[in-house]
Amino acid sequence: MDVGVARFLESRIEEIRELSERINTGRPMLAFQRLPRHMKRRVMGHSSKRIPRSILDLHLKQQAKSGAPKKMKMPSRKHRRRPKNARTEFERRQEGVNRWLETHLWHAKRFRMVTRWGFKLAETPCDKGWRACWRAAISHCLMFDLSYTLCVELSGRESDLFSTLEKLTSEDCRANNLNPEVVAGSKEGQIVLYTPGEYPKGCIGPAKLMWRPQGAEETRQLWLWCHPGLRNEILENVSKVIGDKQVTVTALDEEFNRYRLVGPLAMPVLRDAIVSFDGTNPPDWIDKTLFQNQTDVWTQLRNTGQAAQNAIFGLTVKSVSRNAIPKRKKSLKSEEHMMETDQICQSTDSQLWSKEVRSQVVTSLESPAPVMLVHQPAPNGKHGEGWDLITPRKHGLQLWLRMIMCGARVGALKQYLELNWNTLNAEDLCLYPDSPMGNSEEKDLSQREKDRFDSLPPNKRLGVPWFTLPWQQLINEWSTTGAGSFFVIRDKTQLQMADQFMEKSEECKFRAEEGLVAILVCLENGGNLERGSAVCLPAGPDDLSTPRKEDASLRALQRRLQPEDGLKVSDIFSRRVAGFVLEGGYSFHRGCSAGIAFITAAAVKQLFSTLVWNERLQVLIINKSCPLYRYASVKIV
Amino acid sequence: MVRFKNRYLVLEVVPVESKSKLKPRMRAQALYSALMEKVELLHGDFGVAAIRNGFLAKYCSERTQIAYVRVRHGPHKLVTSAVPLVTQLEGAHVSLKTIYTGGSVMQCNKFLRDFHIKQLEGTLPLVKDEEQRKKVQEAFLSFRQLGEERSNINQ
Repeated sequence: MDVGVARFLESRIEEIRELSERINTGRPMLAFQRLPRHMKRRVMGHSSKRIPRSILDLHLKQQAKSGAPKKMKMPSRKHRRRPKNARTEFERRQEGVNRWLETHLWHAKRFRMVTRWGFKLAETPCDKGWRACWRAAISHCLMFDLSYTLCVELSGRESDLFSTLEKLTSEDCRANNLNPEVVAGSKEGQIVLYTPGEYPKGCIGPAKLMWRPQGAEETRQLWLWCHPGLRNEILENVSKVIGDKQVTVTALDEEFNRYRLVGPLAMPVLRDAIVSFDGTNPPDWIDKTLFQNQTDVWTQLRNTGQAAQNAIFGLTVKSVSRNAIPKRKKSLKSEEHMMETDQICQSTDSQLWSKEVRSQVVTSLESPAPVMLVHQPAPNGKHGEGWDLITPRKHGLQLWLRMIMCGARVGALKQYLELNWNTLNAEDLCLYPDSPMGNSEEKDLSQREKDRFDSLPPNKRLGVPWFTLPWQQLINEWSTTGAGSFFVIRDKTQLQMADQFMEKSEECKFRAEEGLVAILVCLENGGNLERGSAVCLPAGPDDLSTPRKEDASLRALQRRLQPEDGLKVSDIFSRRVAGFVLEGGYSFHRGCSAGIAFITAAAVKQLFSTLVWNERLQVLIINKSCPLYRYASVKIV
Repeated sequence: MVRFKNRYLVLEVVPVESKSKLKPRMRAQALYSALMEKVELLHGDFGVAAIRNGFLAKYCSERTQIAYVRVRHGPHKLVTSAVPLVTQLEGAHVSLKTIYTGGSVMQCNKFLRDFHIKQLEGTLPLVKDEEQRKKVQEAFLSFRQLGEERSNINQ
């Protein structure tokens, strides 16, 4: 009995001791469990936010120690649904229809993309930085991806190539064609292509011309860089013209990237972004003498002033990954650049011309690549000077990213067009309304306008006399004799004469009545213009004394959507319509609204007759949906 | 979300036959299945299902034959009603007594400690041996000290 009790007592005492220990040492270990009752919160267990700051540190340490799993945030719906293999997905999206440029992904994140001419191109930045883009073009560096430009290669004997070109261009443009520096391959030329035999009508469009510097072989290579929309016309007409001759035509699709840098800092950006190949372990295709020449010239070429207008420079570029520029910086003109050297650098050839080289370079991203730098002169003499960088396929993106890291701002299609018409760049498509490209652009734009118009409720629709600009009708109305199809007068001699006429009051004669003359209109006293605004001739000094003038007939017109059949375009308004504005808007360059308009050749004559009572050439601009006239100064382009 | 509340039943497993006979083997599994059986008997499939989630049987200590049974708060009533019905554990006749129902293990521990102390107090008069008595009295003192320490720590 005793033993039993003894045992019982012992065991019980042990038990009690153990329990007491458990209770006493059962101190809560976690920081938030040690808080006084009134500071504890239920959520503390799973949310660190609700813990008093004083113990937050300790709490986080404990969490880390215990390996508490990180709060898994459910990925967004978009992230969950994204394709497993991005590359195959991108390839699928490009199937057959719209090609992506090498820089597509970069643009797609920052720009509104649009489908044009079989490509997906950036239209405008999402950040509404158009003013910033203008400033970049004027004072810093603005960059465009023009890789959608089509390159057509012609190769054959020199004489054959000359005769081919002759037939495709106008007599007046031949000067540029035969410019010896262009033919030698040290400069890029600019030509306007015409359907053979139809000059001055049958305009195809503008093209840039590059000859490969003559090598040992007899055959020469010629590159025509043109707008992708002109592809069919060019290829058709070129093959027609070639006929029996041994000239081969190839459209080099997807072979090049072409980036344009515009602005005073274009050269510093290029110099910082391009790492020229140093010559160690050169691949087989490198021509040693050429490489040496290129390197020498590149070391000398420090600022844009050292390059001749439109000069071409070849270069071999080292492949450098983007990681090599650790930080974003702004390339500035160094002191060397500040000192304008007179030393003009010689143009150099590039191995980019060779198909074999290109095919070798494309296979590996690490290999050095041949590139070409082409100087772009300022079209109006002031702004828009820059460089074109032409790289082979696949080697463009690295350079693109490097240039951005060096401070180049990127512009899209709209900025490109704006820059062009602000600086009156001859590449601007809006200077070619008589080409098939111009026509289809016209149709596109007018269709879009019409769709927009139709989508508005009837009481919001402002009377619009026309969607598609009725050039032909206008020409017909202005011509005294029966007129054929219209065309744009590009003959420089005639245009210069017209300009001179202003000063000398000679009679201005344009050879044909079906011609349109491009003019630049500036609304110096305010007002805005848009595509489709009518250019009217002022009737007398009264028209210009007051800046605005109501046009009663437009009010009547606003009830009608389109002019009825039989109503003359030129008689719609009280002042005679001479032409239309093709492209225009607010011009940063001039600080007012400006645009490029076309007026009939006959109207030009009448315009000059106003010089009798007016000191300078002025016209009235009236917008489609507004009954006010604005007067604008005129300059023949 | 709503909190999962538990009830911890503190059971004393008392062998019905004399102590010299086999102690019921301390297997938690046996206790678990015995209780499940009785709940099924009393409350059917519903009872079993209601209890299964969160049902746990554990032995607190071998010496004292105390077991903890954890049940969800709510269905715990089904278990408390079944506990008296358990008569056999692994062949041995036993009687289960629910001595405490607590919300947490710590509360059960606290109760148990006091429970054991009371039991000791009860057996103290039975102790004839002086030495033993001293031991026990010393033990009581130490418990009190521990108790004071505890209250100091918690402040």
